[in-house]
Amino acid sequence: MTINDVINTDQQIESESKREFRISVRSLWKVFGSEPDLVKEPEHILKSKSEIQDELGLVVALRDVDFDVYEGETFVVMGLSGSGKSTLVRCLIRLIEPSSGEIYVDDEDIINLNDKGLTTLRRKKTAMVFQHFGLLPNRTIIDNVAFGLEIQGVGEEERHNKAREMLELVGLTGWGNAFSYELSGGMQQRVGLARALAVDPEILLMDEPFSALDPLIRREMQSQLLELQSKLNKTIVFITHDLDEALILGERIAIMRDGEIVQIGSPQEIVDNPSDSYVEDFIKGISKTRVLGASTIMTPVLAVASEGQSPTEVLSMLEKADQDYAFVLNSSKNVLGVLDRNDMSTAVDNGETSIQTHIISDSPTYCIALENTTIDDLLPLSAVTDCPIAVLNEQSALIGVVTRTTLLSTLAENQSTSSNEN
Amino acid sequence: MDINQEGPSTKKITELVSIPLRVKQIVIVALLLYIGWDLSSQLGPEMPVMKYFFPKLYTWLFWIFVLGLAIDSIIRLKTSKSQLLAGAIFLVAVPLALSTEILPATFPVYAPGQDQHVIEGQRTQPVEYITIGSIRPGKTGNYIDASVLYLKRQFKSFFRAATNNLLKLMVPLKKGLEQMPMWLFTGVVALIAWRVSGYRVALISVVGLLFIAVFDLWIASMISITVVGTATFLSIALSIPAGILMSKSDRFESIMRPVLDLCQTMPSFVYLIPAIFFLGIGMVPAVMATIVYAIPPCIRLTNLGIRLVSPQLIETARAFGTTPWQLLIKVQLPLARPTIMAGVNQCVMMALAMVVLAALVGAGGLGADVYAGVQQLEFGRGLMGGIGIVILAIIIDRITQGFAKDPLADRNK
Repeated sequence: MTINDVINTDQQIESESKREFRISVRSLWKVFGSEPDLVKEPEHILKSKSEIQDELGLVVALRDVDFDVYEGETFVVMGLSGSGKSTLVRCLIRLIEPSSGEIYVDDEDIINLNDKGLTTLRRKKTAMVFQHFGLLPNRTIIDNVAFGLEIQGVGEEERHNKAREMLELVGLTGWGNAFSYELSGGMQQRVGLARALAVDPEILLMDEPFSALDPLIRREMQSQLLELQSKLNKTIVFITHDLDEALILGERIAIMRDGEIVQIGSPQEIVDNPSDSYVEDFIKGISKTRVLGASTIMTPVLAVASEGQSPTEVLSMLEKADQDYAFVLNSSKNVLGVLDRNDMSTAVDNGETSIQTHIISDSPTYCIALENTTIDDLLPLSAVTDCPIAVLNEQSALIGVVTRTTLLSTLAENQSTSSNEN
Repeated sequence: MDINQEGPSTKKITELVSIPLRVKQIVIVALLLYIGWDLSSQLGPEMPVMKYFFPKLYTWLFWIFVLGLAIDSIIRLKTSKSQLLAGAIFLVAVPLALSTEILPATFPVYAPGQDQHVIEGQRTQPVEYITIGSIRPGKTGNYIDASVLYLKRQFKSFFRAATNNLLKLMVPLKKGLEQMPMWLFTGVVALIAWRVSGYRVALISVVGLLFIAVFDLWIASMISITVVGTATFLSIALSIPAGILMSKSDRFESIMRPVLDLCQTMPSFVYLIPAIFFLGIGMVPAVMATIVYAIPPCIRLTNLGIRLVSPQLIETARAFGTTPWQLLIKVQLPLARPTIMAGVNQCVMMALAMVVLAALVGAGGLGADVYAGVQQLEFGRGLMGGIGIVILAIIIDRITQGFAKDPLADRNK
């Protein structure tokens, strides 16, 4: 285990204690075939998916899957086709019966739920959006959106009002009386989303909802989802085979291969620290600068001054450290601004005793970034100033700087690795 | 693991038996040469003598076909053991079948009557029956007769009640249709046709009904409509639930499938016999026989329509928490509607096809005209009755097709 891993787990433990679980999955198995338990026999358990398929005639769709989804989180499950991700999301509400394992949604044991409980779960707590849209061709759009409510037995007027509201939310006002074939793919999927949102679910399950759409519409839908999510703050389990999509939408990403979860982590962790070659292959084509935060490339601060120091002290410190700028901190370690070396030498020449008037605390010279600001976002800042960009943590304490040199070398490195791979 | 071991051996046998193309060509050429030689030897002053050449050729081809079939089915057997076993049986059975001399004299090479009729060229020889112990399979018909008679005696009151109830339903309908003014009936039919299938079908209906009225077929048509209508109504009432059950249960489907095949392939005359026997003569047995004949397509298409509903849509509905009943009512049946209505359309058309047979048991109607025409060699009368049936068929078909049309197909225009 590397130091980074230790830090990651520490961070996880910290965040787990803060946030609430919505969904917990423990050692979930799904094996298609007549004798699913055979897979777990000691002589077979180590065999790969294809070996089991050849020797036992069983298809292992999910193998010992564990994960948690927190309240209000967008949890992305990513993998190639056939990696079991769609099976996984269907197992969560038992559209496909899992072979073994435990699933808890809000501490409710889903595996042992009876039919009635399952119906209630599907009606009230969860809603699903499908890759194939699943709109009923014989119903108008508004009746499609109101389908979930109709199933719950909500009266016609009420459910139509709600459905109209939802259509407005997804930007399809006025399409209520159309039929699904009159709509484009993107619009159909918005109807699918509206239908899912109409039942006011706490958990949204999205099974490759945007995979059937063309790239432009897909991006539009992704930003619409992000926008909606910032308003509604649902717990979302999002299935995709597209890493770009996963990185845009996911707060945490689980990567699946052959029914197993290979790695779970934030987009940054996955790009920065892939657990094995499979994940590495996945992230090859991805521009790291879009995902990695400032904290991953920052360098230690070399020149720090405190409020009460004199220009002479600062100047000598700067000369010693061979820096052009010094960051000024107050007593509680918050950054007040920067001091320019030239400015300091003039101040010394003029015999000034205080640095207060020389602190530059506004752009373009002084720029700050948060630790998770992506490298791509740092670039425009770096273009306007010579001064290193200050990287602050959540408590706005200075934790490091990003110089133009570091930024350029990171970019160059990224460029060369991606061109090598191509 | 077993499969792995059997793989190579299966392959070996297949390779052994698979004939190269060259050999096949040689065989075909040889066969053609033989036929040519055979033909030329038969060509005399007269034309080739059919009875010598063709039976021989057919026998040859038949044997080749049978041998090929047997070899093919042995190759397709999965395990090498069963292939060996089948091959052994084949090797023993073929010479046995070919050499009738070793067979005991009592072995039933020919069916009763076959040997005298075909082999010795005599037709009027008395037939020696096959008996197994004291049972004679050929007499099964008699046993069935006896049990039918027993059933009839046992359930006399039930059948009488059923007949009376059905008549209570049909007689008012028949009376009503007979007494309904022609213009009213025509108007109603035209209205329905217009609402369901458009003005063109309405026009056809009006013209058709006027034709029927002008050619004195009105009352007969009304009787036929009564029989067909009642039979169709009962068929639909029975077949849609049956179709739904079949779509829900694979086992029920596998039970129903042969039953429906039987209903459809059994000559429809055969239904008439028990219908008359149990229900007497008149409209009721006609309706019963018609139901048996007309119900299979409707059941089949209901089953098919529900099974063809996209599994993705069913998954979607389930994800929203539908109960099985809601799934059926709100998703499956509406989506299967076009197919089910096509089944209803088939049901009506087949019921109409039974009109002539219904006349045989005294149901009357247009079929009676046709039947009388056959009996008394009045071609004109039979033809007019037949045209009446055709007109009814066209009207009913067009109207029910309007129901069967996919509602979405309309809106696409």
